[in-house]
Amino acid sequence: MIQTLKYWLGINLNCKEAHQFLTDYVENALDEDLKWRFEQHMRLCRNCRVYLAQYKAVIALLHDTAPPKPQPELVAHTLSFLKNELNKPTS
Amino acid sequence: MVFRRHILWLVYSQTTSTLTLIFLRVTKSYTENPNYLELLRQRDEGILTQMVLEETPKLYRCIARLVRDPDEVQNLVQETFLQALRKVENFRGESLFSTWLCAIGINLARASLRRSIRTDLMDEADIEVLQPRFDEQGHAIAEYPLWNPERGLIRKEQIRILYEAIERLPEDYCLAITLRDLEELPMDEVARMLEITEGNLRVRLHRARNALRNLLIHYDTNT
Repeated sequence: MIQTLKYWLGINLNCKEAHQFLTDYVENALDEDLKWRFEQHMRLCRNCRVYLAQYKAVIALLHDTAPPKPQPELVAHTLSFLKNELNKPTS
Repeated sequence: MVFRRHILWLVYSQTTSTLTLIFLRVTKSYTENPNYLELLRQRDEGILTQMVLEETPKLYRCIARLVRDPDEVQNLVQETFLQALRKVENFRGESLFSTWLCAIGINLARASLRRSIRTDLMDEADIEVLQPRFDEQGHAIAEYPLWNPERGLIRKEQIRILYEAIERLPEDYCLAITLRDLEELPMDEVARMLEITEGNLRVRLHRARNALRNLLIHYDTNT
């Protein structure tokens, strides 16, 4: 009876279950029903809310890293390397 | 051969009742040429040059996120193009050509990483320790520490710690994080590059992010 009521109210996920959906939630890969249940859990559970915020903060930090840039001469070097290698007779 | 086209746009402004002519030059990608694979097979210099010009930045980024030595990265980029050209007939068009190219580059980078001797790499058991714990009812065992990334270490330092931690992750986790979170490539493209399902990729990402969060918080709250 309680389980049915919890399901009906969308509060049937426990911390462990909600945690399993973290990546899917962040990646926007949850269907509408699960997304609602996940968010219901987050509304009621402060500890999981803290975790979600930290999880998102780590992803934001990762996004913030500057991408490595190739040296400007790499394209020219690569083209001359390919020309040499491709013109070599195949054994 | 370099493919270029021009687009003319006529824009009418109601306020000034004038027609403005906009002249745009759009450079087409080499892959828009319907014969690009055949031309690459024939080693056509024009299409080859365009491919190297277009693909080098992304390929370089993917490899350089994994391999730190800049000389080795340069060698691997060149070797990737060479391998791709030698086996271009193996490309079946199931993914973007650039995805296929990066997959070759990643495999070469993996082989290079395996050749280098590392003693500080984490294993699966280390990753497991860094996952959150739950009791039998599925409730979190510990209360998570309140950590505000804005107030702890300076961002630059946090990023440096993250980089160091990523380098120590087991290879599968390191690749997932590198391609999805650092390179921000789409999930389906990363899954194709790593030849795993998207579900499998999500599991790897999840475990790796949990581990990084744990390491970062531990470092941040202990300094």
